[in-house]
Formats: sequence, C-alpha cells, structure tokens
Amino acid sequence: MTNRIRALRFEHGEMTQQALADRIGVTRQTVIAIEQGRYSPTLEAAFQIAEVFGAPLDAVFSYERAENRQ
Amino acid sequence: MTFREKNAAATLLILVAMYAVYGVWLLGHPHTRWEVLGALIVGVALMTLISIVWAIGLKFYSLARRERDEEADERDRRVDQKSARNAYWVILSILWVIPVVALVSPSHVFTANVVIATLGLAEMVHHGSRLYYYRWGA
Repeated sequence: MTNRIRALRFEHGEMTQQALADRIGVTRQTVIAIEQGRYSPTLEAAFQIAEVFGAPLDAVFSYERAENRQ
Repeated sequence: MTFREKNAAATLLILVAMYAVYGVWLLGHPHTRWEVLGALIVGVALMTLISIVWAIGLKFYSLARRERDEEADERDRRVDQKSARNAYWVILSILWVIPVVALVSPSHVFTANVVIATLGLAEMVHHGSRLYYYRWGA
C-alpha cells in the first residue's frame, strides 16, 4: 500500500507530522511509519487522514496487487 | 529511537544478560533444587529491580529532553498484539515437550530449567518482536 500523505501535508500549508498526528489521535512516530509504508493504518485512521486533507480515501492511499508491482 | 523502542531494547538486553548469567552458573557444576530455587528468586528480584531502575531512569531522561509523553496508539497496540502472539506460539510449541521431559528427566531441577528456558525464550521473543516491529514495520 502506498500513500501521498507527505505530498498532501506540504500542499496543506506544510503541515507538520505532529500536527497531523494530533488531528487523528496517534503519535508522530505512527505518522512517520505510515508515510514510510512501515505501518498500514486502520480503516478508521485512514478515513480520518483523508478527512484532514479534505480528499477521498483513494486520493490518499492506493493499493497495488503484488503481481502488478513486478 | 522512541521511548517504547528503548524500553523494548533495554528489557531484551536485561533478559539476555540475566539468563546468560544464570545459564553459565547452572552449567558450572551440579546444583541442588534449593540452590536453583534460591538463584531463581534472587534472579527474578534482581531483574525486577533493574527494570524498575531502568524505567525510572528512562523517564527522567525523556523529561530532561522534553520528549512528549505519548499514550499508546493503534500502532503500539498492534505491535503489542503481534509480539504477544509470537511469544504465545513459542510457549505453545514447547509446552508439548515439557510433559515428555518431566517423564524421562532424571531430576526435577532439569524439568524446572526447561520450563524456565521456555519462559525466558518466550519473553525474549516478545521483546525482540516489539523491537523488530517498531523498527521495520508491523
């Protein structure tokens, strides 16, 4: 799963990771892990992130099947 | 490294050190069950004391560095769940061997040490997994 969180943060007034973390109720470390693809958030957190950026879920996260990645 | 990663790493180090010291002592020469029991009580007390001192020290260090006191979130809970599951599998896998060991073992001390080793291994897998999931993803 890939995401555009980093790009979206910069498009939204260079929002800090801490500010996003505070908005969705997780730690900054979790936001870092999500951005780097080391952690897939719960559906609830994913919707909250999309809501913060005022974007639909698929504009923030995208899923690519393993066979398509090759 | 975050507070939780440092805590997992330190707990793992303390566990490995304590079990290593105990293992070396155990292999030194044959011990009576009372000696082993005494070593166990002292070992657990020492491990608890070291963990408490470490936790307090780490808290003061974090406060001095003005790190945010963050509550566990969904990622922390997932890391804890997956790590506990790994430890559970270790215990469950070795649990089946223990009755066999108890039946064929020449002494209760040996059986007790197999149980202790199982618990020690499970604890190490638990904290090692926590560290792994925090560093490389859960």
